[in-house]
Formats: sequence, structure tokens, C-alpha cells
Amino acid sequence: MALMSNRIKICRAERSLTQEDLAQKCGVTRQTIIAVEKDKYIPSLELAFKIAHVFKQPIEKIFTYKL
Amino acid sequence: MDHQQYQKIRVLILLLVATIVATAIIVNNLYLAFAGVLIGMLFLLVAKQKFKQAIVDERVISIAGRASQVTYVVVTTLLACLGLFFTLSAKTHNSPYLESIGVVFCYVALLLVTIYSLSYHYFNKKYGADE
Repeated sequence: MALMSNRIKICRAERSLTQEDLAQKCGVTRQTIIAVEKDKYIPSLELAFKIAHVFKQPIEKIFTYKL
Repeated sequence: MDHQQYQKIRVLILLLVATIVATAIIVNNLYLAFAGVLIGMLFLLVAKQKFKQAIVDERVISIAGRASQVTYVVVTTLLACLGLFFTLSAKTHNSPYLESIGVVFCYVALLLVTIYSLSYHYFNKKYGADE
């Protein structure tokens, strides 16, 4: 069971951003964005901040951790 | 240049190099083969510079790290076991050749462990360990 979950897909849809666009803005590959979206890969703190910066939201609004 | 274009260009360059090397082998010309490989490397470098998107990112590095760790464990264990097997077999069969092979395998396993320890120590220091 994944402890980390995220709202990347929703935020992308709100801003009409494709996975490719987000990947380019964050400087990673599209495969990484897909893996993060599906909770298969936990991003580094740096990438998490970059994603939050792209969506202009605090990091805790994008990523949540269930204890 | 997007990712698909970059992949197509890479395949084209590889085909070009393969053709040049094959031709060089047929005409028995070593210089032509070297020139072909060098030109291919140059073209690949230029294509990589034109391609702006990240090819290697943190996920790829993480996957590579895990794959390297698995490879290290498998290869070192296999070499050590084979080395032990050949060395012990040499004792029972009284064969110096088997013993030599066993010793070589054991030393290669030790070399791998040494390289792993050194690189682990180096990266541990690089990423902030105080010890």
C-alpha cells in the first residue's frame, strides 16, 4: 500500500498541461512524471518542490503522506 | 527536437556507423572503420547537444543504482562460490589447473569487493558523511 499520494493528475488537468509539458518544465523525462503520478516512484525533495513550483502551490497541497 | 526525433536520429547514426564498419571489414581497411566510429560518435554528440530534454534524470539514476547493486551481489557471490568450488575440487582431483581457475575467481571476487568498498567510501564522503 502506497503511503505517498499526489494530486498531480488533477492539477495538470486544471491547467491543461500534458505530462510532456510538466516533464519539460521540471527537467525530467515523461516516464518519471508517469511513475510519480501513479505512485510507483517517490520523487526526490527537489523534484517535488519543482512540481509544486510549476503548479504554484505549496508542496503539501500536491503531495500527501499517510502515517 | 523532441524525444522521438532524437531516437530516430540515433538509430540512423548507428545504421550509418554499422554500414561503414561492415564496408571497412569487407575491404579490409582498419582506418575506414576507425573513421566511421569517430564520425558516428561526433554525430551522436551533436545530436545529444541539440536535444534539450533530460535523457537521464533522478529516476533513471535510481534504477541504475539498484540494478548495479543487484549485479554486484549476484556476480560477486557467483564468483566467490565458483572460486571455492574449483579450489576444493582441485584438492580432491589433485588438479593444479582447477586450483588456478579457483584462485583467479576468488581474486576477481575480492577485487569487486574492494572496488565496491572504495566507491562506497568515496560517495559516502561526497554526500556528507563526517567520518
